[in-house]
Amino acid sequence: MRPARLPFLSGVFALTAIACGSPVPEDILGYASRCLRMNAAPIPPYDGDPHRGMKNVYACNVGSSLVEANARPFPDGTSIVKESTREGESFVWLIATARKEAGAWRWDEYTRNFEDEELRHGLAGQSTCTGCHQQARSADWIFTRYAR
Amino acid sequence: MHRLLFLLVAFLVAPPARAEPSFVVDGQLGAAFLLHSRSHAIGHAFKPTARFGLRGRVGDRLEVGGSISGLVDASAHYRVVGALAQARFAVWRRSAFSLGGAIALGAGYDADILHADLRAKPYPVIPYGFLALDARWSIADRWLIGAEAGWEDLSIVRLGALFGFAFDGGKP
Repeated sequence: MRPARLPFLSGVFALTAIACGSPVPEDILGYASRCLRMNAAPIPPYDGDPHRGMKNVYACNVGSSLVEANARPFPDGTSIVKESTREGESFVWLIATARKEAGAWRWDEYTRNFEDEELRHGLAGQSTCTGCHQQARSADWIFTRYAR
Repeated sequence: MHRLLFLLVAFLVAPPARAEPSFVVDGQLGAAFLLHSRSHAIGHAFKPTARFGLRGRVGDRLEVGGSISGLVDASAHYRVVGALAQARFAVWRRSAFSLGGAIALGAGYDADILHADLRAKPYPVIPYGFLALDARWSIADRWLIGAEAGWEDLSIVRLGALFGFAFDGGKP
């Protein structure tokens, strides 16, 4: 293959990935084993639940003492990961992430329809997430508190 | 500029001036939005769609025939295909332009994405069907190009480019 084609093909692959939705970032993968689960028991769905299903929320890249003390605000570098599994199903269909960068959260959602396909980034914008999470503004925009 | 506009309008509104060929073979390639997709990712909620059809003219405005229509995807969850009897009616027709509506009914291969619970039944979908609107232009005498929008099996909305060829029986 001629070297001149490599940048072109790389661009095509990048555009395809963007068009189809990027996969869950590597620094989020493995959250269930290396991050601290904040909820004591799975959080059940409710009317109008935007993350419909049974949910678990994990705090990543933050000291466990801070999380267990429910200290707010979270430091920069913190990632909060929420996973949701629909009733009657056994696979995670949604992963929602909040990443603290420069004192502000960046919100992302990755979803799928079927167990054998990859979670992909959705189209929802930041305002979709903040529109709801602003109700938890006093708790640094994160609803879930650590409990055991 | 005004002359161009005049020519365009005249081209569109001029009534049909000659007998139309007896058959139309056409196809659509485009994108489908999957109404039952829970995932909002583009790669899950949108899929490539295709339709191919062959119809014969019955009178000035009506075409009757069949179509094969569905989604093109590597995953069986999304692979949808229907074999349908189709009728197209030209609502508005001029020398080189036709605005039409189509209805099609038949049987389809059931796929998970056609269902709100994302679980297909273990038998074909009967009836499987679609409603469609299209706008098509004749170019180079017998070739057709245009656009078609369709609502398929109550669970797929598709939009795409339309292309076709009109011919007389036995001598395309």
